Amino acid sequence: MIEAKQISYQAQGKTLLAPLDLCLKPGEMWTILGPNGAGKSTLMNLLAGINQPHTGSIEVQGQSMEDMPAMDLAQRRAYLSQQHNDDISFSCEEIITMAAYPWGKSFEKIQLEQVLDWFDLQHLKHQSYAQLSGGEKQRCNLARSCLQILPNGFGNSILLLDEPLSGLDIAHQVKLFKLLKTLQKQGTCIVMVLHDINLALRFCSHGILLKEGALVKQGDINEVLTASRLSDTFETELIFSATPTPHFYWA
Amino acid sequence: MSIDQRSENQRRKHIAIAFTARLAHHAAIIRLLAGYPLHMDKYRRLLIIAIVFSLLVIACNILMAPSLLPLEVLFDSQHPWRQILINIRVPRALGGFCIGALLAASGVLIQGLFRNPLAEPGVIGVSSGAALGAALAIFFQVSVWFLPLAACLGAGGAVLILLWVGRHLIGQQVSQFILVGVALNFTATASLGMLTYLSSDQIMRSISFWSLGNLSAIHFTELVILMSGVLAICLIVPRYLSQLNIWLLGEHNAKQLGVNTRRLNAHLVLMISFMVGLAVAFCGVIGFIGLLVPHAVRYFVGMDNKKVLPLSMLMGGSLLLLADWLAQTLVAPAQIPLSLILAIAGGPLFIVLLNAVQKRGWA
Repeated sequence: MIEAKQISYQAQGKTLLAPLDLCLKPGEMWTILGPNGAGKSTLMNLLAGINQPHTGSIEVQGQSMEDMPAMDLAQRRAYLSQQHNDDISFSCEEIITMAAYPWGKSFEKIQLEQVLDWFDLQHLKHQSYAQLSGGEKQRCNLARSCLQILPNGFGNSILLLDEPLSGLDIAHQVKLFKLLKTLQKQGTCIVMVLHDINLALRFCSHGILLKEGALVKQGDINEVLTASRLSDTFETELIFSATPTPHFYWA
Repeated sequence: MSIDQRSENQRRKHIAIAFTARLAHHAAIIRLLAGYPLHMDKYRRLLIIAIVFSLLVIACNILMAPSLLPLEVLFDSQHPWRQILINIRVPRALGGFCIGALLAASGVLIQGLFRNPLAEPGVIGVSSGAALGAALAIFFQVSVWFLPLAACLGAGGAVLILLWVGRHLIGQQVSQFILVGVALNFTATASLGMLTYLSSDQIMRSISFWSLGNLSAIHFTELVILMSGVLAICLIVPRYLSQLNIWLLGEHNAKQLGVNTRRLNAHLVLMISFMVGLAVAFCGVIGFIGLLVPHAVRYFVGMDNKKVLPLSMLMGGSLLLLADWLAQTLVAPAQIPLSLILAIAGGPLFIVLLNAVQKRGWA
């Protein structure tokens, strides 16, 4: 679904991402892990088409991303970036319905209601975005990202989320992951930047480990996230201890 | 009873029925019209109020500023004051309204383009850029027809410098950006002063007469140019408003939603230069309308530019005419420059806004 060949990125003479290959298929949930400044967001920006790679090329559903009209791309993938303008006073509903732009028409009311329900935003929809808390803003942005690919059907869509959990309380974290799981089952290709290794291990099917702009390892999540490799990458002693029951443990 | 009489009676009966039916019909329409505003959303209600208010202000400005015209002038084409009405008052009022609308609209677009609630053509040097362009045109004595073009080029130059500095030197920080604009404003204003200093007496007089900012130079030709400018804006700008809304979410969000940000920026620069250039070319630098009006409008309808722009244009025009009415009547028969009146009101307001923006963001 997304196929990247030897993509790399430089800014002001500094290599932010060394060349790497990726192949992300429908129904897979990927996580990008790595220390601060490892190039996670850089990679996300390339996959989302915000920045063009300096070398290599990216294909989305068999089509070169460079040649694809921006509107077509926006109908097939939604990208939740970390860059937000916080002090704007659109209402929550206005922010979410901006997802209609690539479709050139407004949404049916039922679609809007659906995402509002998913993220518990019904009671906030007329509130000014600037007055929402950090977590509520994040939910509002997540809702917009989901709504953007809703008309396309989740089966042929790509969802790129840069730190989707930031600001969310535990109830909404669980709710978000349950939602993402159902989308994954319908065939959505999901890529997330996460900082929580435990969550990544529990929910994601594949992983990419980055350090200082270079790929450490990619592939099946259980193969990528071994204790020794994580310890080396994060330069911190980490131990793996399996929990037998499928519940969350928080320490 | 003769046949004639019978048919006559029948005819009367028909007329009576038809009359009652029509009366009922009218009553229904009137009730609908009167009731309709109550069912409309807030924006439509405000829009209707703004339109009525604007028409009132225009009418009052024509008939009352600076002195009361007798009402017969409207109906009597031979009336001695007819010429004043047609050649001076109407162009002045309508032209002033257009200029106010252009300035308010340019404020909305500039605040959007720079994602900065404090950006205003007069504050960040776009108006002074336009003024410098126009003054250069006067200095080199090119034809009067090129004055708007020169002003547009000057405004465009200022916007481009700001965009470039904003992108390459300081990032997107709100307060820093305003400081750059203020610096640009100083430079442009000082260059204008330098130009006046270097000019011959006659050129100096025409530059300073024009740059003081008053509406008395607007006659029929200027009115036609201004009105076609406003018409063009009304036709072109609405296509960009949903993109502009998205642009406010940030560059990444705009790009990922499929907005061609490069093209949007370029077109916004063109439109802003056109509006500011046109406004400045005909009445000099008039500040604060582009700041005051969009903020006041946002207070009522929120941030959606599709609602903010039409209301801002109407209220901008009205505000300029109200200021012009004061300018003409306060010290009549002399006139105070418009820019002075607006700046006296606008300066303190800018400080209040600065404070509010620091605390709560936009609006």
